[in-house]
Amino acid sequence: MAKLELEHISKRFDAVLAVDRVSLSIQEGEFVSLLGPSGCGKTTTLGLIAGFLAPDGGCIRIGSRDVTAEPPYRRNTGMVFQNYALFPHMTVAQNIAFGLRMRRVPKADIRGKVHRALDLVQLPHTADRYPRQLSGGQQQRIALARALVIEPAILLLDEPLSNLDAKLREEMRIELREIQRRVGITTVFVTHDQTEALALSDRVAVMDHGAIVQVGSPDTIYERPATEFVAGFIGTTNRIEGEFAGATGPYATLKVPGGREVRGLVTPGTRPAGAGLALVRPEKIALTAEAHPDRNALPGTVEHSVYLGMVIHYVVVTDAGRFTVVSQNVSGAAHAPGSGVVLSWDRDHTLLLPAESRS
Amino acid sequence: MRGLPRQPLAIFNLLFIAFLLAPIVVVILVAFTPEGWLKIPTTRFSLRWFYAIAKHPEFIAAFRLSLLIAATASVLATALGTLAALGLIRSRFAGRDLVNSFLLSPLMVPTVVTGISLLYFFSRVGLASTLTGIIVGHVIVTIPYVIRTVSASLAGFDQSLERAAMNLGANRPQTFFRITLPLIAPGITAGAIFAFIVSFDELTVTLFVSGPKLATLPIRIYNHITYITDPLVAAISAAIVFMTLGAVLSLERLVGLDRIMGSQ
Amino acid sequence: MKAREWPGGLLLLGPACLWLGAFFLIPLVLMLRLSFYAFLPTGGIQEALQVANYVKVFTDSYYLGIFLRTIRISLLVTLFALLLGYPEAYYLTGLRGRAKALVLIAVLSPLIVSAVTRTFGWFILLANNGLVNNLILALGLSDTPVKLIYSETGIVIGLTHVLVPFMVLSIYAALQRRDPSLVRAAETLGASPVRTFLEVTLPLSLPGIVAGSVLVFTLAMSAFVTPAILGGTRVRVVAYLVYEEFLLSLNWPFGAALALILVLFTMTVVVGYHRWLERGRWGEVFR
Repeated sequence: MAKLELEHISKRFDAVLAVDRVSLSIQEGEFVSLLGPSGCGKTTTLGLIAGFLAPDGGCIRIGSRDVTAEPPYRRNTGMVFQNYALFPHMTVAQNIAFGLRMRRVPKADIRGKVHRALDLVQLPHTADRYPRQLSGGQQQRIALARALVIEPAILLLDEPLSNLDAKLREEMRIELREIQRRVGITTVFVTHDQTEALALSDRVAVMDHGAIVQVGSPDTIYERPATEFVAGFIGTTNRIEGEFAGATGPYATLKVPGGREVRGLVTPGTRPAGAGLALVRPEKIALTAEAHPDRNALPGTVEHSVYLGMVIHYVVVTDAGRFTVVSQNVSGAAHAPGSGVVLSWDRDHTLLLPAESRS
Repeated sequence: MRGLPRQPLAIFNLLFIAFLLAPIVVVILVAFTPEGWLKIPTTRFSLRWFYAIAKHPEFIAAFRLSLLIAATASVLATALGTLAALGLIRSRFAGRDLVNSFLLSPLMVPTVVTGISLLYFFSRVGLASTLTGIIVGHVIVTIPYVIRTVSASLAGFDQSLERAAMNLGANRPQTFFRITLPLIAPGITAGAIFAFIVSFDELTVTLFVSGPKLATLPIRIYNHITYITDPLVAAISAAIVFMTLGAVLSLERLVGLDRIMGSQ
Repeated sequence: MKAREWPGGLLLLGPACLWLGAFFLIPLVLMLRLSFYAFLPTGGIQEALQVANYVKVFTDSYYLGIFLRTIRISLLVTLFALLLGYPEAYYLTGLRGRAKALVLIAVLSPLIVSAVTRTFGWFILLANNGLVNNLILALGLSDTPVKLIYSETGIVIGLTHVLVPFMVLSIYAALQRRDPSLVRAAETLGASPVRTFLEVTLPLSLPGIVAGSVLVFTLAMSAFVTPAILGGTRVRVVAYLVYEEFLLSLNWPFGAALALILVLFTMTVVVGYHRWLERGRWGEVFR
């Protein structure tokens, strides 16, 4: 049985359908991210799970319990807010103890639990300080401790890392994942940052305009995006337009401007006919001198290159369009602007979908 | 956002507002009574007490005097207070907080105390029971209101607008008159309106610094209440309330109250 | 980068400071000196320094009684203003847009009407044959009309009415600054709406409660108009006493002493409040 089950939940605000029949099943101990641009409905979905908003349709189950009609204080979820929401008039210890007091945990047990929670987030000496006296990173950890100490069924995180600076964010990311694994708590994490989503999650649910567009493990999402939106939102993608010209098994051929053909994998569930798109990631393309027979090949000219130390970014112009190519800096030298090259990449790294396929 | 249950609060709100408006409504109703004593009209409405105002020219004179004093005092207070607020918000110097407290101190001192100290002072400099004296006293009482509203306006003022103007070539006076002043005008206007209202309604200080020939409207009303209890005063008060409402409504029509209060 | 300061900030402050210095500060200082003078019913003010006036206030039970009564009334007014003002302020924070604007106007509109008029309205309402008494008799709460005019009760009602808008505004301002995510955090941690209010909202609005209470208390202590109309000579408060001494008995020195004691008392309350603000643990907790 799933730990958290969302069944066709919808939420409407006036004329806007913020969440559109979203369904999702999350297993015990899983870390699932809701990822998407602002306005895609991920925060609203989190609000529905937590109980601040009542869905207009569908139902929400935590374990075997249908919580759709339950108010937030009866749902047994723990939430970490974007601005941490620590009670300024209570000490750290009182903040953490709050949820335990609401659950009428005996006073004797509260002290122990609070201290264990502080140890978990590695801030054992802050018990008697006020939130105001702590740094942003420390406040965030206290917020996490407060949410975990009540041993909720689900942990909800609303962009908890976005108020931290870059370095701290990376540290916290690692720590967060470690704590989550150690405690084994089912977690829903909302973010617009794909790096975070990919780094932290067991599965990622990509959302757009209120609906879940694709759910899958990070590598599935990245390597096998189901739609052009997902391909464009996660990482960068090259996009070539053309006409389908035949298919065999899982593969198909796309005729592109300039007369060449590009072979690739057809996106499951779509028909390889009519106008189409080929999507290929920049790091999958190599700049070679000649075409390799078993691989896709397009001749082009280097427009410019950006030397970034670890990698070199190229922009290459071909008859089929402009390509971004990212090459590992093995040789230490870059192809000069104006030089002719052949773009070469594997057909297994090419995704083909019909042109109308917009989710 | 969830909170405490709204329905009981909504009922409380209605009762509370009824409580707030009750005495005002009562005065207005009594103004229309046909009887000779303070009774809320039950059978019919009568305008006799409004007509009676005309038979008491001292009230009309008092009204004119109050208007004059309020207009003069509010203009003076607005001028002094606006300059002071500019000085307070825009300069840095040691003791600025002290000066700020000093300028707002009339709010902290009981009006009775202000009244008697002015009476004593005026009696020694020959300003007791003079129009000038009353105006001086009213300015003191109203300046803090102007300073508060103008300071609030200035505090929320985006200084990068001034920098942009200067960058584009405006010198200090131009920047002030074309950029700063128009944008803090709502605060200044609000302050002026407060000052006017406070001065017009002022009783306590005026009791001490006015004289037998200089009875303002609040003083006449107060004296009348303490000696006679008939609906004349109710009619006068009702007339004032109507006039105020009329002024507010026409301001709203002409200028838009939102603009005066500063919200877009 | 700060815009260059206005040159001559002192120049801008000059006029207002001069005005207040000449017509406010100096008169107050003069009055301080006056309070140490003596007064003879036959000879008028004698410029001989003595503390007899102050002694008189503190030793005569009549004057002490009036002070105590004024304090008692002010405390009651503060309490009622708080009990009425808090729910109203809380209600306001839950409103949006037009509804909020309308209710705010309703709460503030009494302030446009002069205190004299409003108190006169209470005078009519609280009279022996007024609405309130008619209601009391009709409900059978009493057999005879309750004496509300010229009683402390009437003054408390009138003053509460005049001052409660200040309490509402003060608490409303404090509640507005409350972070909404704190309420949600409490809810996810299991607190019901009542618990959330008691544990989070109420404590965090304490600064507003205290500020409003200090304001209402000092205004009530200093009030003249309302107690004069609703109490007159039958129920005197300190401000009225000062008025009597000055304008009726013409004992200016004594009136000055009374006035200064009143000022000292209210100043102590205000200064004490500011000290509490700075030193208390709330200073650590709030910005």
